[in-house]
Amino acid sequence: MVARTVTRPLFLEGTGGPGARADRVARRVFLACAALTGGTAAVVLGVLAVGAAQFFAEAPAGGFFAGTTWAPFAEEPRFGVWPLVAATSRITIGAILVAAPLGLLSAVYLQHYAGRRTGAVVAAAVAALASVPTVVFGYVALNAATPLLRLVWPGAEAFNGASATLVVGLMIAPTVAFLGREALAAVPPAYFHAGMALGASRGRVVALVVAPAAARGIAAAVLLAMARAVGETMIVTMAAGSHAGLAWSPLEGVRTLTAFVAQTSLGDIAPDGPDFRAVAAVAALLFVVTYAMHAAGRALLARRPAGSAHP
Amino acid sequence: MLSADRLSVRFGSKTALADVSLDVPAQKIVSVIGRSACGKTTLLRAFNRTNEMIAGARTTGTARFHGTDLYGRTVDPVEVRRRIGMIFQRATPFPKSVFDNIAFGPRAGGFAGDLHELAEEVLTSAGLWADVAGDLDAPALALSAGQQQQLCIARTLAVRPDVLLMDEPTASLDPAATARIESLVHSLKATYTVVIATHDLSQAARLSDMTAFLDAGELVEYSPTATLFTNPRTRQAEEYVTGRTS
Amino acid sequence: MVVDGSNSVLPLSEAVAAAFAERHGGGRVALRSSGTGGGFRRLCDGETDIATASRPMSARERARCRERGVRHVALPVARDGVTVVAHSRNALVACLGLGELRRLWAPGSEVSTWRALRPGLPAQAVRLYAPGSDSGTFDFFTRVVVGRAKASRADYDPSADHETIARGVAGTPWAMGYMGYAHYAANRHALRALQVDTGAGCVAPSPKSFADGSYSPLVRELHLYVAEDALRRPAVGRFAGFFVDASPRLAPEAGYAALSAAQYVRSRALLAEATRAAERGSS
Repeated sequence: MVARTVTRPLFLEGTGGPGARADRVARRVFLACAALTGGTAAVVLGVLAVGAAQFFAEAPAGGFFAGTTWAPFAEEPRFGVWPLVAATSRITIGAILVAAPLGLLSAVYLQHYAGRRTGAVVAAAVAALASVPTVVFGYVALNAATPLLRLVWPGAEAFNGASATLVVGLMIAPTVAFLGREALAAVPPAYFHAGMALGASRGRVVALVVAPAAARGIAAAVLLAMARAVGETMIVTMAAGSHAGLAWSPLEGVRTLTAFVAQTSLGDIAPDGPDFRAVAAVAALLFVVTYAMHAAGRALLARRPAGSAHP
Repeated sequence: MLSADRLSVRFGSKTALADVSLDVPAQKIVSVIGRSACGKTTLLRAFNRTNEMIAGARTTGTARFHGTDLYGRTVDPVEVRRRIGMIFQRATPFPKSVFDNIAFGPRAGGFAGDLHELAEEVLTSAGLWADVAGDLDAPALALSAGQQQQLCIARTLAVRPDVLLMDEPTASLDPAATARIESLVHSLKATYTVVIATHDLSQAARLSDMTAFLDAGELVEYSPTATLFTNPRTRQAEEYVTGRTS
Repeated sequence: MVVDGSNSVLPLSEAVAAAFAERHGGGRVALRSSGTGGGFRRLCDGETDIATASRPMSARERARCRERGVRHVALPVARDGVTVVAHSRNALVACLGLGELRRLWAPGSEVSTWRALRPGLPAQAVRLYAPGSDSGTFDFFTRVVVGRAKASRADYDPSADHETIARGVAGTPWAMGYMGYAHYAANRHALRALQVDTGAGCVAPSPKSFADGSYSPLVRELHLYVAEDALRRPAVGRFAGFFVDASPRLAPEAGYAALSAAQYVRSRALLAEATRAAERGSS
């Protein structure tokens, strides 16, 4: 009887074992996903860039940035983007004036005042506000904020900047609250305890010690929330109107950069037409602005908060 | 003057301090010794009501200051902290200037006098005046670790407390800085009542008039320092001060 | 099946699609409203089977369709009048002349208050709401009122959706706008339709005045443009036929004037011919 010996290599050579193969497959899947994401971004940016380039080939950039009349589809088109920029700026600044106090006070409350249970309830409420779809906010702006506004100012138009501003402010308040709370939480607790031990009130300690130490993070929170407001589309499209004039009253309709893109795209856009090129130019401007705000916000967050070198 | 009567502190379900009763005489230095996590810090914090800033803390029993229950319903914890100041293990100057660190407490208390005079006075008391007099606007975080602790002491003195609670104030300092702080503490005795938690037995022996030995949240022995270190009444204290148990 | 195009035709398309679904079951008709121009573009790109239109296809659009080899047939289905609307509480203005409308809407118009439009009216600002540049109603209104298609002042609030225009005018004191009659009819409680003086006295827009010709310069025929290739699918032919057959009944209900019986017979004949052509083409 011949003894059968099974020779079995310790490790599969060359291709690696089944485990290694699974790793390789997984790696390729992940790479493909990452490439798809990056590739999509590249394609979108490419299309925007080409459209914007064609736009600027026809319309001088000077008129785009300095002009005060936006009528891209008129018989004699005018491409002054200033009214759209002014509308976006006004809504963004107004919204942050609503959101910053609301969000920062919530952050302070959650971090330094709330008991465990009430804190959890409030945090859940803020999180709920953060997860409301923007179309619901748009509906609220149109059907709740505007009617309320008109109880006070009957002259308010059906579509107006004020209600959109207010509701955009509500929408971005959770961003300020959560990022602001993170900034406060990153401050060494020793500051808070030392301040309290010196016989200062909680509010004084938070306002004079903790908040200044978290200033960078708070600034980032405000900046990132503002970036959201700049890019917010649904609320302004539904509630702010499409009047691309330089309106001064917040009770009048205004048309933001985003609303122009969305409202124009509601119709059918020919990819080779002037509509598309104008949309691309505005979208490219939007992208540059929001990207810069995000980058600045991230840069603020990346730097160490003051004092963290010595906890 | 400062006393605890069956004082207990729990954090959630964990007991940090159990039924501690002791009297701190005025103008004396009392040291609190014991192993890590034996309740030293909790006892100190109970005296200026800073445990309650920690979520889930519950205090029972009484702590009295000149006969007044510190936990009485009409007592303002902010006022308690002004009368009974606290220095932490790690120096915690605020990321502000030296002057603003000193001014923070007095301003919070509505101090109406000359802040610069006060700063000079307390910085001198804390032995730091010579080092910082030239630039009170310098950032506090630029000081050395020992100087930072001196600044924290000066900052607390600026509130004009009656009692100083010091939680291992030299634990993270080098020997030279430690010596400086110790001589400072010694000089403060003339004006202040001091309770100092320390894991450094020789420091307790050098500095204090009375010593309390805590173990697992309980007060095992509270005796004059000389007695506790040479002729303790309890076996646990003897084992601890002679180093027979870790 | 995809139906795209005029927002003015949408109320009729919706009524027809609902009746079609009830009769033949299934809700497989996707209604979109990219505007008449957008509908034509998508028809010629093969992206929609039927384009609804509130104006005829222009020579340029026809050429583009031909270039792409897309043959189609135009079926008239109803008559609609462009309706000038004002805020419901604006009782001072009942009728506007074509000349006044022209001054108001001409490119570069400086008329910004009611008083500038007609002395004696208050100096309130006229806020204007109207269809955007892809709209057949816009093309039609500018051609009739201003004299050249697409020639319009630009500082009005454009919207691709007549409901948005209705909402804007209804919610803005002293506002004014224009839209298809059906959309006005659906919002008549919130809007005030103005009469238009076309030269022979003020006439109120109504299906009756559309039918009898008295509102005539602002009345247009609404069409279905059906792609011939799509007719190879029986469902498309069935839906287009149903649209033509149901319009005499549904158009007046939805706020349009029906065409004459003879016109519907002609639409049916055009459809049958196109269907035969499609079948020949495929065999």
